[in-house]
Amino acid sequence: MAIDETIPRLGCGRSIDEVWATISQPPTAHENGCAQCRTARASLAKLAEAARTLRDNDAEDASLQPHHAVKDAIMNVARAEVRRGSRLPVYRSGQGGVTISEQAITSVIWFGADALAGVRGRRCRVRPDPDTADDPRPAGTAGISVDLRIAVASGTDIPGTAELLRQRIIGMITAHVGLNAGAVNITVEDFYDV
Amino acid sequence: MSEHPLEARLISRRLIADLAARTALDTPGVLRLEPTLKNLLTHLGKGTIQNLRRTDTRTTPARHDGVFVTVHNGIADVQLDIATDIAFAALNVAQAVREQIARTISYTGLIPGRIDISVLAIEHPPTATATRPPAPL
Amino acid sequence: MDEREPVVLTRPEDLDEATVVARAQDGNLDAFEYLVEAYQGRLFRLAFRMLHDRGEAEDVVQDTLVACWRKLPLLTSVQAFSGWLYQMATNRCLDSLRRRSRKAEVVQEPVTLQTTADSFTGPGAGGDPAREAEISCEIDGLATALLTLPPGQRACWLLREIHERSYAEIAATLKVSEQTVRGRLARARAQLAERMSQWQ
Repeated sequence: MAIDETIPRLGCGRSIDEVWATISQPPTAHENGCAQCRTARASLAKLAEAARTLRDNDAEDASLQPHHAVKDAIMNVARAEVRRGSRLPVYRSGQGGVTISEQAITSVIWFGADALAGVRGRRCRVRPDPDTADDPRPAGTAGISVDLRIAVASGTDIPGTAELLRQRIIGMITAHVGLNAGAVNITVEDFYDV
Repeated sequence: MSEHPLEARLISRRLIADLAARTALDTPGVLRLEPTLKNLLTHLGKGTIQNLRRTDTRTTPARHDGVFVTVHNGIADVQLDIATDIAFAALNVAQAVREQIARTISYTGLIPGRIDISVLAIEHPPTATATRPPAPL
Repeated sequence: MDEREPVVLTRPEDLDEATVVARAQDGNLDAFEYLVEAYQGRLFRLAFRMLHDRGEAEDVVQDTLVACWRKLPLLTSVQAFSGWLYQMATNRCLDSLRRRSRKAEVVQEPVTLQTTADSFTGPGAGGDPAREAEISCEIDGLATALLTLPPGQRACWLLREIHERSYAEIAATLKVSEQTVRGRLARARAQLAERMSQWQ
């Protein structure tokens, strides 16, 4: 739609955009001499001022927040539809077994990452090692593999930090989950500002 | 089928569910049972379909907040969803819960069947803060 | 087990937003709740200025954030999160307005916005009643003028001038070219400026 792209022009030929773009600068010689430009500048300046007022005021206005029931409703849906990832079979026998949700393990991994300076644990996938789920095993021997994406603070020694994080994750999964993390793959996807 | 009135069977399932829940909550390292809507729907769904088909209602599971129990031929199967305390190794806690529940069921005269435990969350106890160190195992 | 690492909890407010989004994507409810808190006010203000109806604006916020929870795993770039939310909210506002016009409802009268005018206790007024009245008059004038714009122009203007979204993002949100966004913005500015000077 060509009309949608048309930018309104003043009688003197200048577009509203041109006037708007230089509104915070002193008027040009043309603008000083052109009555239409002067009027446009004045009314656009007033609009800019009103927009600032509206923005600042609305942001602070306690009445311009949704009722707390809105957040409650949202969180109720989220809790009812909570995503825990797959349930990893970590022990199986004729008398039943044990599964641990991917999310439970992920939260342990995030705790581990958070405790390390300069590291932020992001998305995480956990898979059972193919042969581990069947026999009864003592805790700490059934295996899983972990794929963790992280962001690091800029200036972080990446290889050193990744190795430290890998050791920490292996230790935490043994201590808090009772499994053995055979493979911990860490991908640095981003830097974050400290 | 007629020698066990429906009411008695329901009570016994509920009793087992109640025992299993209490046993789990008494096991060190269990924070709470973890009911999920998906589970609820799945199990209600099963029950509903069975009722609609008028099949043996003895297998309809009883629900007790994250515990599902079926009793058939004197054998009790239990499925339980829990959240564990991060201060413990979740797999050890789950195994301890399985063993304790099997023991508790055997005291009732029923035979413990399949006992499946799902650890859905591993968390700090609600009162714990970052300043309090995790409790020793 | 004595050599276990101490377990430290990091609250979402101490993380960068991209990390919080990634954790919400993996189903973490605390992370999602933090995002709801962070965005519900902004989305409500956009919807309220689009629709001038508290109830409808609250519906937009709720629908948007529920859809956000459901679709989060599909979001490919955590950096795109806020633009994605604004897009869902804007489109819900436009749908709402389309439903209204289909119902051939009475066009909204440019009434004064009592809700905001009455409760105004904003910054900068410094308890000066004359300045407060001036500010509230300025806001009402602009908010009323906004309601006379076509929905597409109103969305462009609010997203750009109040919510400071980029031209590229607004274009993607409204599924139009950046040139169209610039055109709509210029016409919105011209019309708003004219309306406001008429009323002074």
